[in-house]
Amino acid sequence: MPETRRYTGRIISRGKAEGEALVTRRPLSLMGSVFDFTTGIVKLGGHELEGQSVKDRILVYDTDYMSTSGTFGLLNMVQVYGCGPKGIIWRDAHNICASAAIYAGVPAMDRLREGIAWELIKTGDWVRLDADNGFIEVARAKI
Amino acid sequence: MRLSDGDKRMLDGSEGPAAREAMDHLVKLGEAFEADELVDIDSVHLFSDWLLMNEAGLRLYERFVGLGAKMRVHSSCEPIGFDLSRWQEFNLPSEYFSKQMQLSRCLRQMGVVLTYSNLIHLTQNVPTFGAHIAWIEGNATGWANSVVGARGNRESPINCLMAGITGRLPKYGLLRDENRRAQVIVEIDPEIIASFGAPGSTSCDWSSLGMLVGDLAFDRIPAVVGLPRRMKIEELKAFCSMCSPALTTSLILMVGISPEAPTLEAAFGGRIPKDVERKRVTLDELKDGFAALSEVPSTRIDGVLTGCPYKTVYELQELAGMLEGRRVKPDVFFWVYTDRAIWELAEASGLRERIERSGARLYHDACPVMIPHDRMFGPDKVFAADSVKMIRLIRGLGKPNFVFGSLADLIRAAETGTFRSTRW
Repeated sequence: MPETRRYTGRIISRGKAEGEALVTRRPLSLMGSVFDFTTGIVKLGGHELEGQSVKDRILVYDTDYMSTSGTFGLLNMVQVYGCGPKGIIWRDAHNICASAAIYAGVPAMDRLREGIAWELIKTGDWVRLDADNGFIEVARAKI
Repeated sequence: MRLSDGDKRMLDGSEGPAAREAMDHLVKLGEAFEADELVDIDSVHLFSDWLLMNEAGLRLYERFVGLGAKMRVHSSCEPIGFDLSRWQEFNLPSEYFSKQMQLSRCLRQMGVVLTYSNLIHLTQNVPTFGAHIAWIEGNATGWANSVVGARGNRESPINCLMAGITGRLPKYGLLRDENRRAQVIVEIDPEIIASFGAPGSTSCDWSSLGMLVGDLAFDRIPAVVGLPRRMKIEELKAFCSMCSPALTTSLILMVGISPEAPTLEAAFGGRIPKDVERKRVTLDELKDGFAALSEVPSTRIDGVLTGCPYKTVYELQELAGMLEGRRVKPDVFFWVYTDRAIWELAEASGLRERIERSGARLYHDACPVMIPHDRMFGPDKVFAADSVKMIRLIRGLGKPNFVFGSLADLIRAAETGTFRSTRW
């Protein structure tokens, strides 16, 4: 059995989800010009997630930046193109994607009490996100 | 979160299904961001364009039109991808026009004033000190908070819609006094300000300075020291335009200019914390940042894009003067952007004719960030622009190449087909 750690945080959008983490310590934009919301693939040039898909992952990133239209990036992925993340965890939520997570019913949290989300969770970790009760469980991926 | 009787009436459906759904969303939003209450808002500014909203945006608007949604407060909306009276000049993909018309019809049915403008704060949706606003658009919220002292986050387009339907918004973020204090000091080297003011350099100079300040502060509210006591509207517009994409917040406390920052102490709510971080922007850093916005120092170009944020009528006067007797090369396009109100003024003042005599085009409604560059141009085109905001936001769209320079350099490039920056 892999070691499982439990963290608590602020509930942004209620619900439960689990999946493999995709993590970046950088801010992200889901705006249509730098993110392909029909496939879920990051296009932001030079970003460490460039070329990677957020589909079915627990997406962990710093916060939203760039265009306010990032809202529609998440909304299109989840409601139209079926390529959205299963859940989201931010260091600090911005209303740009928090609002879309709330409206589209994507479980989401931020401000983990034990530290910064992108330090506590690594890409490949298995994350169980309980945004009804405000905690997450992280099982470390085998290295 | 405390709800007023009016909020409760909306939530229980007494004011119809649109208000019920909108209030339900706003209550969840308020709980997420730990607001104590909702407040009345004075105006909303909504998204409009097909490229960035796409099918989910259309579904959102159509759903609320179906529920009978109407705006309860003053409203305005963002630019779209093309000029509605000259759309044939835009070579749009076939479904683009009809999808845009569906979105526009929804906005009209909800009673949104069709401004198609990012300069609403200077034309049709003018904020006042202390006003509560629910606006998308970084440059407009940046101006409203920083220059005027209105209160509002750069608000998500979903939240703006719900706020317009209910006239309410959770009191969170920049709507709360305690969240409007500076968190970092950014000093501007006097050399920088002394070097500003060359003809046709307002947009490139002030937007690149805004970029450096924004990149240093990122998600903290900067107190900016060293700005001139009196700044022109166009200088403030270019500087505050970098609230997005450089900053995640929409408040720059410009000491001596912003109403909430007559002094540096006031920017911090009375006392400067001892451990506050102090940053300084030097002229060399500005020159490096400026140069880095061009992918190459000199190149042939296919087009010039200027008017981000939209040009004021005074910038159109300046441009008309600079284009006098000049001729844009036939295989180069020169697209100038403003809103309909300013365009009409430019037409009546003879400015539109003087600008277009050179071969340039003066468009309203349109924003170059909202056109499908990849399908219209392909990846090989080279654009010249004088706005950092425009370059940062378009760069992903079909990945066109960009060069950055002063309006004077842009005009020379349009005449000759070759760009070379002479600004520094």
